Amino acid sequence: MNKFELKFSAMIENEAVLRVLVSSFLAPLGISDEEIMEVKTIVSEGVSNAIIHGLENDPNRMVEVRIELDDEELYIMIKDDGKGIEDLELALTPMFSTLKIEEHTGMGFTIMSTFSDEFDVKSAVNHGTEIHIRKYLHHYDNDIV
Amino acid sequence: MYRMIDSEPKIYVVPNEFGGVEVKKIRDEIIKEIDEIKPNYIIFDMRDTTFIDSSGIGFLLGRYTQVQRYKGKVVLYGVNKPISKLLRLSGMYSIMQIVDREEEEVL
Repeated sequence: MNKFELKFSAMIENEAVLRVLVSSFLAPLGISDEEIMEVKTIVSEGVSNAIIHGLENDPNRMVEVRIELDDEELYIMIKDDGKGIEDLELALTPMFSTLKIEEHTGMGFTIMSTFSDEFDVKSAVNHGTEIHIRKYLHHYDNDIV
Repeated sequence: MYRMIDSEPKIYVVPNEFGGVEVKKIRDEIIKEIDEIKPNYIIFDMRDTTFIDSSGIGFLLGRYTQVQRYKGKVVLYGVNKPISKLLRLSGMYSIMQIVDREEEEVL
């Protein structure tokens, strides 16, 4: 079991930091580049949501991330205590975005759930949002022909 | 099967990783340039791109909308397999011309 927890300011620059961190965390495991890319995308979408939508880019507020790896089972938790999601069903609809003007695709949740094995969102207006993700990774380094 | 290009295409090289921060860095400049020169074709060269998220996809979609106003076209060139999966999921294949990395030699 390997895990870490961190908190960082709601600045979009920190999303890129997380990406590097996730790559380094997964690199020694011998999983495919495609799976690493999928995990990076999941984290990027979740963290971007928390920064942009939940905490509205306020650097004084913090996003919390927890990543745990137990053998091939990866667990990711992304949490903010921001404004929360009013209509979760609508938010989970592909192509739906509350921010129309800034080229938001409304695909974040769809992408996250596609790349995850288990995906769960809990949200309360004015209290924040919590995303829980489980993904089963496939070590490939032992069975290369 | 590819339409003839009737004016000089504008080529933009997409960075290795294309998420929120990278979009923010280049977005305004590219929007301004497209508005000024109004190229009939824009090619986003994605041969070096290994990561994109919905911010990156949103940017590409935004440029598509921008050139649509004057009937311009957007081509995504040299897209790798994992990214192709993401673009397909986001419905990009039905609106843009996308050349996957494996079929690059077709052009």
